[in-house]
Amino acid sequence: MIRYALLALLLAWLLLGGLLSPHSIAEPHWTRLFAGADFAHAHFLGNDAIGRDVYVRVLFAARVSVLLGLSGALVALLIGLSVGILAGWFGGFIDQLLMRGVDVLNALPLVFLLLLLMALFGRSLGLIVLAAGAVLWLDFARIVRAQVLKLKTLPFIEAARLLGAPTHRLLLVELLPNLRRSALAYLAVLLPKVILLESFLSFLGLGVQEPFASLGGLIADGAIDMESQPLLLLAPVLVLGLLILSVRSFSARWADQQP
Amino acid sequence: MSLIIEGLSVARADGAQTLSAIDLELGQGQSVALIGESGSGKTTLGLAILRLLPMGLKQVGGRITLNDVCLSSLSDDAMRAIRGRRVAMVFQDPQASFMPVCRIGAQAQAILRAHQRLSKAAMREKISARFIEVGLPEPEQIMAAWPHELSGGMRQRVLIALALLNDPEILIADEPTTALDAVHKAEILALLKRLQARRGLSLLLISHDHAAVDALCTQKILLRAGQIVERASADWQSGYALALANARPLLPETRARLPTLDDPAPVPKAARQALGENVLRVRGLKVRFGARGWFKPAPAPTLHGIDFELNAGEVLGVVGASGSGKTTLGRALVGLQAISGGELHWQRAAPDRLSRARRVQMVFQNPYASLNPSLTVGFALAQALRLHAPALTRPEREAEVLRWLNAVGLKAEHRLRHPAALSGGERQRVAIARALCVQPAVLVCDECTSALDVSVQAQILNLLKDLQAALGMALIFISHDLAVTGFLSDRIMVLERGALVESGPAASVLQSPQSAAAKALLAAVR
Amino acid sequence: MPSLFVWLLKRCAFALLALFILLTLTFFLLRLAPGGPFDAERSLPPEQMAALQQRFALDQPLAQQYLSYLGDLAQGDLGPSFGYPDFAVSTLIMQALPVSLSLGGWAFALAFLGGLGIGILAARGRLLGRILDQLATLLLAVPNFVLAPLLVLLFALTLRWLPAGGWDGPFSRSVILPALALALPVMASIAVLMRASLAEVLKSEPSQLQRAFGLSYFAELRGGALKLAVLPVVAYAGAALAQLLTGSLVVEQVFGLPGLGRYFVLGALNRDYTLLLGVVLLFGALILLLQLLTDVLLMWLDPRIRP
Repeated sequence: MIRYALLALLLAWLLLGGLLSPHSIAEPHWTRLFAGADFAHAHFLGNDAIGRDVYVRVLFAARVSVLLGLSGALVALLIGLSVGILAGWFGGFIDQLLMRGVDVLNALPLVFLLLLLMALFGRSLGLIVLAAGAVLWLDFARIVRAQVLKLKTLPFIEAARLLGAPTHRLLLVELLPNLRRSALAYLAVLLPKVILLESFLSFLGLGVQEPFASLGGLIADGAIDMESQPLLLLAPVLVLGLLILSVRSFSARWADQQP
Repeated sequence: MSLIIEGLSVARADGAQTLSAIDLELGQGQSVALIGESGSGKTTLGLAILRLLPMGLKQVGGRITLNDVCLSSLSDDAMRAIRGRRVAMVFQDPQASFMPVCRIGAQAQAILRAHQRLSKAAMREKISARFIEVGLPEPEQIMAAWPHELSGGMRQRVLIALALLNDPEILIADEPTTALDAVHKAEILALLKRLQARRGLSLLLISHDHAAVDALCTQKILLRAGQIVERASADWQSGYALALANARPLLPETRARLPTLDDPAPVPKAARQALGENVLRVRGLKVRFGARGWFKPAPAPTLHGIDFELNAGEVLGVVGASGSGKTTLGRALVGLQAISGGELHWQRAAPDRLSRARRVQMVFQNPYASLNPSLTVGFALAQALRLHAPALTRPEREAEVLRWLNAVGLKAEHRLRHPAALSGGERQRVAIARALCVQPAVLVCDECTSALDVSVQAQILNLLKDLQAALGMALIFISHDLAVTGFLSDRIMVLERGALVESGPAASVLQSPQSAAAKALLAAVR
Repeated sequence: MPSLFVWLLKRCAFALLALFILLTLTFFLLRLAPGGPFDAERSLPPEQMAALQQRFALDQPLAQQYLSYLGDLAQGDLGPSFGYPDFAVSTLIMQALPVSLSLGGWAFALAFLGGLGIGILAARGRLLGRILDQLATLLLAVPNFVLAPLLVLLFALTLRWLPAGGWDGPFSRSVILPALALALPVMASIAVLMRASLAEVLKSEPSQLQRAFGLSYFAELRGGALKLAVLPVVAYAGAALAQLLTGSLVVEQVFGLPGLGRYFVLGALNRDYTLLLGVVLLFGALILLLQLLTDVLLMWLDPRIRP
């Protein structure tokens, strides 16, 4: 019960929170450097090093983080699903090849390569999404492959084959619906991972560019200025924590219901 | 020593009663059997005695008294002292009962340590003694073995030995013979009887196998939907019990249809119809498997040169013990198993996948796994129709689906259900509908009633008989049960270790079997 | 056991292959990126620039640079650092290695021991267990780049119990906060994984049978449940190490520790190719080595997967 309420609240805030404040994310208020909360002037969380309103910045950063998280998670899901189905269904050489590839990629410290990628080739949103997806699909491919292997031997697949169904129909109609639950469960696991990964990049200065910011970037700045104004660190930390918690609470429940 | 159960009731969280007002008494050296079909609550009763009800079930009434001590008043520690020491339970599936990462000896020691303080040497001695007592020849070897290295029969014996380690007074055996074939069944029953006699053990036997119960127990209690229907010491008297007993096919079978709970009147057999032309000719069929990998290898059955013929409208029964190759034969005929020798001559040519599907279809053994859990029944049937009758419009297809559902005895509302919401019998009906809606010339049924309760089995057998007569297709019925096969078949083939050892009209094979295999199968059903 | 030996050989070959692919990927990734190691020194006249390029062989075709790097590597030479021209990369790495190893070692031990312990207690189902599980889930939501500054804020600036940075050696008080910041998120992952795995094992039929025979919770653990449940946690070790290594980038920065992570970040900023390659290779080798060890450990624990 609580998780639905929390999620609903968060979503509502993400969508409508901007209505509560008249300020913009880039507008500096030079008289309010490191100011504390001031409800009279609608600065709910104070101002940062150059006077920008913290509440509005945190809100926009949360939106950026969530959007990036969703897109990256979807990319990872798609890649993992395709590789897992191909490897599990066709078996043999294709399976060996794909799984060896997954093993090699798993052994590499991909995040470091990701960092290098971001550091060297500049930071576009598309690149971040693609790169995050490209790093995180490996586990899911393994999970999908294991499930496909189990499902492949079940009589209902044999029965469909006996009825004369061609391969593409077997995959789409018989196999895919049974992977739905795993995909949903893993989406809930991926989402926080992507958000954290992106925040990590931002913390190191390799994430989204100004004037946009993600929660990671705000945390990095907040960490530097935490002695002057602790709210600068605590506000984005709190929002990030709530987001992750809320998504994780769903993933735990779904993961328990494995078929 | 006495175990007294008075008015025991167990219910689910939503209030549905799993057991209602059960009374039972078990004295020293006595043996009582709990019989019932699946869902009758018999396993729940066993678990309730040990206070090990799964999450979601609670005891809501009555008391269980062991030696004048009320069990529900005991603390957790006191209850633990009783489990395994006074009362021991042997679970149903020896396949899944062991810790895969521990050797047998280690698991036995853990059980001993829970109740007794013994030195390592003393523990080994005790374990060896038990293993020998249950008839396992090399106790040292077994103690050092990993669970996956043992065969099914050995595992069952080890389980019984483990239960005896702490010398309990009561043994609760939950379906101890279900997972075994006829030969091993008899051995385990003899073992249990021996143990009872020698140790003065009280036995609570939970089973759905009437023959096993009669062999072991003096008293039997029949459960239906959580309630006691009848207690008996010899023959059953009540209507339900008699109906269950009658639902089994007899040898020889003189009835055309088996009496079921909703249709108990027996119908005498009619004369046989004339047969159609030759539909399939099999010559020298051989199948050989490659070497298996590192899991415990099922003895890879091969087929050595099978010859037979099948005519339209004929029912051919294929019987054999487990491992005789009958399932392999069925799968080879439908094309799910590659053939390594011999020829299949079909009357109908089949150049592509769809025409092959119209030539022969199959109904599988496991009703739970043979339907796609994510699709509704209606959708699955519609898919089959879309493949084979693509010209049908949507409403026409829906009508066809309904027609087939009715033909197998289901209603229109079943169309919208997922397999998880259906019973085993209903699922098997759907599987039959799916196989028949493409109107195959030959239907292969691979042990398709083996996993069903006796009463449900009777319904499905009647259904198959009716459908076969109505549609005129040829039927190949594979089973290990000679009586069931005899009920349906015109001719019977007997397989033993991959070879065809006997074949002939059903009546003569059943009355005067020639081969050793057929005789053994007949004895198992008696 | 010849089959074991063959398996070992195959795994080592695979590890070398993976390392090789890592090397190649990183090498070309670096060289193909815009910018070079000497962009900062734009003020130099072109002839000096050309001389620098030549000295570090940057004017040769890529393929040749690649091959000569491989050749040097085979002899154990990681090349000179572009950012610190007087130092060889291997020297720099050797300097930073003890710091990273001890930090990582402490964090690894803390994460696994703590995670296993919490997971075992949490799976029991009683109140303490559920509280611990909730705490662990909460902790998972807090990344170490958040945790590190928060810990500094609390223990160093406010309570003044522990130093806020600097390195005094592997057994000094300066290790505590960084190791904690590094270990806590991984500990939470392991705790959650252990609890879930143990809960599932305890629901299975073999465990039910053990309970029917009167075994207590800890007797069940000893009787095989722990061994079975710990398998996925052991398999997670490689991923855990990777998590710790990436985390070290943040932690070393926040606490100002002279470890490999810091060299990685500096190298990335300065386009110091050889230094970057050296650090990435070392990290990759560590992860691969750990995976090899965990595979051997898994085989010892689980008799079903022995070759």
